[in-house]
Amino acid sequence: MFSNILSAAIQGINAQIINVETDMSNGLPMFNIVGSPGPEVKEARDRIRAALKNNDITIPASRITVNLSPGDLRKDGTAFDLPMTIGLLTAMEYLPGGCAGNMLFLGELSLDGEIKPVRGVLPIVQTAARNGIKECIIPIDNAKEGSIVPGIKVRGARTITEVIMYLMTKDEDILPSVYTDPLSIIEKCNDIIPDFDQVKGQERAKKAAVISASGFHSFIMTGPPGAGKSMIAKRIPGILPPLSLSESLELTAIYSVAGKMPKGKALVTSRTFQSPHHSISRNALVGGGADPKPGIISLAHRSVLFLDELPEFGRDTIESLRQPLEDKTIHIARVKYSVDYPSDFLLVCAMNPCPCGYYPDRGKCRCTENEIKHYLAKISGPILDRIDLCTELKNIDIYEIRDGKGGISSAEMSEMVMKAREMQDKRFKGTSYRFNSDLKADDMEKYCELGEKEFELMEKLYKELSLSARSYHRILRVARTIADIDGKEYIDSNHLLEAASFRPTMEYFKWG
Amino acid sequence: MDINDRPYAFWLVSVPWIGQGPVPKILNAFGSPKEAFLASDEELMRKTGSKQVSELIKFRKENNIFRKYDEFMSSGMKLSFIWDEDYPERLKYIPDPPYALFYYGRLPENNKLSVAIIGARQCSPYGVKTAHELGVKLGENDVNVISGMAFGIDGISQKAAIEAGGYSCAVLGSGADICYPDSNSDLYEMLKENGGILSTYPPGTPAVSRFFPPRNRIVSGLADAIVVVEARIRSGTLITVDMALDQGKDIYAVPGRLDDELSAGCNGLIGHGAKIYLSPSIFMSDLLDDHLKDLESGFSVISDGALLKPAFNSEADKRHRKFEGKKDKEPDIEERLLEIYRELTLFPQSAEEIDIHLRENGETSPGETGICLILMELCLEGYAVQVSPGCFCKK
Repeated sequence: MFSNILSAAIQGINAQIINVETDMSNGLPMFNIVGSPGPEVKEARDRIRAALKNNDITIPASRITVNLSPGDLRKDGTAFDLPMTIGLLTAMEYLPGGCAGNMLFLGELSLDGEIKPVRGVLPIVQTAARNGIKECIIPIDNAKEGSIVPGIKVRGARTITEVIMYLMTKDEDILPSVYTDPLSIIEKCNDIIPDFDQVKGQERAKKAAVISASGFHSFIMTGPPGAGKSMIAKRIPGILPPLSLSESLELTAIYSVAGKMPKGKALVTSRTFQSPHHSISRNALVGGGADPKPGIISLAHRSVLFLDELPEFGRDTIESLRQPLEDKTIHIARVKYSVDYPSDFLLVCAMNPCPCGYYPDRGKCRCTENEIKHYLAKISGPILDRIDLCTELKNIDIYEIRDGKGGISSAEMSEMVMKAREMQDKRFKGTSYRFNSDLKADDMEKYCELGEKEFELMEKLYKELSLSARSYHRILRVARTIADIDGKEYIDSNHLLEAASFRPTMEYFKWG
Repeated sequence: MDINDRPYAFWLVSVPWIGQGPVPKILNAFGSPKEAFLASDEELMRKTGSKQVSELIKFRKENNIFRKYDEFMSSGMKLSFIWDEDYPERLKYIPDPPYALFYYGRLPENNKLSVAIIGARQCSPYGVKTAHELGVKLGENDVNVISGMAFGIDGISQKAAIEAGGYSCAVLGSGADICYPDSNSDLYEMLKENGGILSTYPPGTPAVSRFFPPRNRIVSGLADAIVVVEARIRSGTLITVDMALDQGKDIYAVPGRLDDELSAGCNGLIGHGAKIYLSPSIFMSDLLDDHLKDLESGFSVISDGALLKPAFNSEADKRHRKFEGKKDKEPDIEERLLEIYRELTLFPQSAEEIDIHLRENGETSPGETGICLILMELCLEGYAVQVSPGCFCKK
């Protein structure tokens, strides 16, 4: 007998519908899986055999062939266990033919017939809904994640018996369909992100954080150990505007594909903070591997990627950020596959100014010129070129900690960010730009118009600070954002000066 | 000494790695370089035997020293032996004077005042400024500036002297044809052209740490006075000072702040009786006071070092008492800029520190961001420098 069951495979952060065809015929007893199955898919036959046996179903001694179509697409993961079982049961006429029509199945089987969670549920259910599939049966642990997709009945199943019972009786009580309104989840979100009012002093660094969050400018902090660099970085997600529904869905899809969805959560509801250790490999950072998975930069999509101790990262690792920083997406190509993952992250870096960390305080710092040069040379120039803001933190003195001069809080800062974002939205309406940091050199004149006085100042800056063309534009972009925070239509001299004071350059370190 | 004997003398000093240590002993035993060269291996070893002498013997066997000498003479580098006319007079009076000097450019003239400026390699903006000022002053007044061409104080003062049209001479711890450190290559070329580069090590000798202390005695030996600009408590600079004291030279130290490690060595020297350096012009007057007789006599007699401290009510003492601290002329800028400019020092400060300082003094502060904007303006006008992303100091 023959049967055809629907399932799906992940491709990038999208999914592709797969037909699981099962044929049962006379011949030598065997169980074959064809259609480019990966190792986990091949192992499925042992899990299926054991799970069915332990639920008192015997597979007849006949020749079983399972084909996963389209056959040229490589299939990985354990999500095909459930559809193959249902296909087999239909083919052996244990289940009535057609009972699983227009339904999509996903799930891993344990040997006693329980259904275990799988990754990539959200994009698969979304694809199913787009393809007009009416029902989805998915593992109970993934049910919440699938339940946010409208226009499709999503049922979470605990065991294989439940699924069989449901297919035989079509009794809604056995597998009730679930639906949650994603908007309500986002509105209810109360993820706790530490507040900026815990950062004492450091007014300049906080201002830089606001600028960075407003115009999505990448940001580097230098300073001695313990000055609060990581503390500030950790609080940046809290001043970024809350995730919109589409952003949240996008981020959830990435998390789901990466298998990083927290158990029992339907959506990623707040901006994430990714802070990989500097020993991270290139593939872990940008994604890849034998079985393609998104890297840290995709998990930091629309959120913050924090690289602490920047010079300690491998050079190759850091260089690999160049293309995603430009394109906001990473294209990973291997012999067996080629996928795109979104990676529109806010890059925040921290580093010590020298190996001991105390430069330019020559009383404490005893690093030689060569040591400092060597240390700074570890930072890739092209990456530094893509960083818009730089600020130095100093250790604050004990009185400031005790007196608790907190300065502005996250709420106030986030208000400033929202204001600047609104200005940008208005300005870039109908263009491909979203933030000031995206501005290309050609459009600079159009969006960063300077008055005569300001132009003179800019000329002076260009000469006195011996800027390159690239850093000239960088100052303009940052000045644009500072003006937006101020609520000003035009950039004035103070905006330019402030932007110039935040300019990142290694030339600081070249002298004396 | 006969011109034809120079290749033999060249042989005594051109063997790499052994230095000029065995030369006096050999000359005592044989009378002249030629005699020593013509002596048999056994005789050389019997009379002066040491590891260095065996190297000398090996060298004369393996090389044709006449050809070596000719090659050297055509290389552009010059050689001055202790009996030569141009050999610096001052060096003859130090303990253990070098037998020969390899050099480029000119050797320092005997009848001019000569000052060694030494200090830390990793110096602060304060040291940079002081060394630069002093170098310019000496260069303008035709005083020779002697130093080691090292990174930091050494190089800065020498460069300033040359650029001010003076003469400066670098004493290297490597062969005179090796520019160390690399980063001073522009200074190296300037000195070759308008000053002097000298070394006791044969050409090609790389810079090795154990060669540096012996060269320091030549730096101090060539000078009438030593100015220490910035030095830590334990530093190579203080080794030079010890040697200078042995040679009876005057020591001047630039005072610094008590909490500044980079000035601790200088402050300590003042405590031990070194003279205080107050400003380029006061230093020039002090120097002239002490060495007027030498100058008038054309340095025909090398005097002993002057008294350590100026005597009570002497000219120098009066000068020092009149000194009211150094004040830079205030630039002609707007009042709001001037307020912040007055807060700037030669020590890097952040906007936050300036803000706190202003508030503590009960003055109105334009706030951290405001200060930062003014500092940037000052940078553009050339009155301040941004030394690191958050720190500024006076220019």
